[in-house]
Amino acid sequence: MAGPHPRPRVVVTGIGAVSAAGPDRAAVLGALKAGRSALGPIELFDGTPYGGQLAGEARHLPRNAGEDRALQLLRIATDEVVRDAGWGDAERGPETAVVLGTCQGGIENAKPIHRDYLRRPCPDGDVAEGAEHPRAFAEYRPGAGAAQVAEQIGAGGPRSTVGMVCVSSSVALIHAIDLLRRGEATRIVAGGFESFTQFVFTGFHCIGAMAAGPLRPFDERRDGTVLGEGAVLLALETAEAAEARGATILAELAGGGFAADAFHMTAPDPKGGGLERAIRQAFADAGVGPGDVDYVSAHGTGTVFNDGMESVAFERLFAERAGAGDMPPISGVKSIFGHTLGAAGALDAVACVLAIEHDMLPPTTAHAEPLRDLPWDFVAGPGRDREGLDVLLSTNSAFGGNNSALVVRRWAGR
Amino acid sequence: MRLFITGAGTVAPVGLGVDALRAALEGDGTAFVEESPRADTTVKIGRVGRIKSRKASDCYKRWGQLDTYSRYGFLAAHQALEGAGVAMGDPALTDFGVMLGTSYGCMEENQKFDRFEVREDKVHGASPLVFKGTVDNAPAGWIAVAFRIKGPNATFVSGDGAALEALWSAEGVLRSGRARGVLVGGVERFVDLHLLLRRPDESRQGSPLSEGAGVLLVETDASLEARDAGAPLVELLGTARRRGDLVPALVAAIDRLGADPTDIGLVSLATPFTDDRCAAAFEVVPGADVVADKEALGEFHGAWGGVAISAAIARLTPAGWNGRPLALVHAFGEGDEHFFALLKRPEPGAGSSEEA
Repeated sequence: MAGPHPRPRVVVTGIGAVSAAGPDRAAVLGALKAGRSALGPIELFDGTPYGGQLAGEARHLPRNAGEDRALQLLRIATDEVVRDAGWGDAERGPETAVVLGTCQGGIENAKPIHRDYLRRPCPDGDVAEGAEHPRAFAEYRPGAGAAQVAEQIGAGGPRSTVGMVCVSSSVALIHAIDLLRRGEATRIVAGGFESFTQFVFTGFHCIGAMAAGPLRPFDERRDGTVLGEGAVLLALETAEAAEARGATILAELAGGGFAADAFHMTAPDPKGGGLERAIRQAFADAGVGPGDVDYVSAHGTGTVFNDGMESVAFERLFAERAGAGDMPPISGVKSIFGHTLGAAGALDAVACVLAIEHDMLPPTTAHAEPLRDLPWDFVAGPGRDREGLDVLLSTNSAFGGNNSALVVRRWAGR
Repeated sequence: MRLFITGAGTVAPVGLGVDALRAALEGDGTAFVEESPRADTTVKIGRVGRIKSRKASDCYKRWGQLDTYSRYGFLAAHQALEGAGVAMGDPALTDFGVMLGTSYGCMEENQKFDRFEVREDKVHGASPLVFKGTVDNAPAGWIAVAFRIKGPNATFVSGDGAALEALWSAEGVLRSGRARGVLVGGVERFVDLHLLLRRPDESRQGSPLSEGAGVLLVETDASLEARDAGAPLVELLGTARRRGDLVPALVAAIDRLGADPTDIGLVSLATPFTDDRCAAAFEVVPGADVVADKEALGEFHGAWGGVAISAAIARLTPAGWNGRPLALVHAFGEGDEHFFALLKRPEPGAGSSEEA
């Protein structure tokens, strides 16, 4: 979203990532390199009613009774992203912003509120004035995460939250790019968070979107998704600010796009029109084209409809390259971490940044029978060494017919 | 590139549309009733109630599937498009977007869905139909689906400034050429949980609680020309955002937007007049009418920006606002962040790029 003035370039200088694979970015990298799935049986609650499905649960997370799980994930990721970026006191203040995406944020906190107030909004006896419910209510608000991060890092700049289900954090990253380009901030902690909850698990179960086994992106045997949780944050700065403080630049967020299917509230457009529009917007924004793309981190939820839609969009977008047998590698890292909903877009973007940093193609696990027998490289197995990854594309789609695309580019200096 | 607001739609306890806002601004606030959620508290609340407009159910075949939160947004968007002369299915909509804000979003559907129970190793009472409403972007999604709007689509959940944050973002989308028009504004569905925000201290009661939607169609001058549109309602000169105290934020916004304070005839504040900061605003923009329309229209939380701009449009006279050409509309969001939109009275004949 370019403004009327020459726009600053936006770079990534730090990562904070808590996922099913572990409490930090090293765990994400380790899982990607090994192609090791972090999915396992549910421990947080009884999975029996759901058929005992797998989940990308952060089992390493201490169960802090006094802390909302989503905010706990976010707190840990915030500590890491600031440390990783090397931000100190000089980076606190009004030039620092926070932009997050989440699907259901602190919904787990809401259960007692929902149950207590459903029929009798504010019981007599001043219960609402007690400590428990107002605090729970405050943490239930979608903006609670951004407020916590802002306080934790001393950010005095804009504070935004995007609520767009599975594209929440990718649109948050695009919004952050916009804020930096339009001069509203110099640096931003941007990303998303989502905790594993019975509310969301029940929802996906009741719409029949859950896999019976592993999450198999772009595989003929795919039968649904596996939910995950995490908090994934990126430290974004204008290139000028990052260079001025001598920061290590991990990659550039070169552009983004988002567009609607305008087709159905919960089912994707089978022709992938919205996704294609989002990607073309991102290409135009970044000044690249299909021929420049070295790798695609796809949404790859493992559902029949999503992966089918994505494959059709990619087929059309990269038609020339596919015809020449030069299709860029495409993988779905949700097969490793599960579908982290509000954190998914940021996690996919981090996979791209790590791919550039470590010269590695992120893999797809549990993949053996390519969808429609497509002769594409889905990077099955462990992560693969690959030098020369310069332009990477990350895509996401969501309920509501939303689609987003981000172009992550190797930083080669200004 | 110039931007124009060509349509405005509102759903509010005071009625549907800008005319209803105008009447309420001149009236006595009878749309609100007093409720006592507990013995020591009386709260003024405005509820939209059953939407009586026949158009509501007639204009969209899937109306019955929409949750109430989405219905408010849909209906306001429908009004905005109708007012701008854009019919459902108009090919121009392909290049438009939808960008909305909300503070509490889908809480009502969350409450409904959270009734499920696990008994005898089975999940009972989990409705797929309700679950699809448990997303904050439901109204933006439904609007896009219903009107076939295929451009950028976003939903901000940044508190009470969310609608103007959506407008801030939409301005970027339009100026960068990603869309030719954007339906932008906010939606809020009152849930009883809001009462938790209201404490017994009367001095903190603020404006009456309200609900509804305010959605505007903002278009580029090229879009107006391409579809041979009629006269716009107002021109959108720009948006600004700033954290901190209201008065410095107001001064910074006026400076950033390049406005001459003596041209501003209306300042619509989201802050109630009981707030000391409001008085200081009079000194920043001398001679302007400073209004706090929430007192008459209610507290719409995340929908406020859309409703407030519609109210400013309702206040527009042929001579402008208080005889001046500009109006500044304010919303106040999370983390002490202020959002502003600067409006300009349309020039005679505005509506094509040549004239603009």
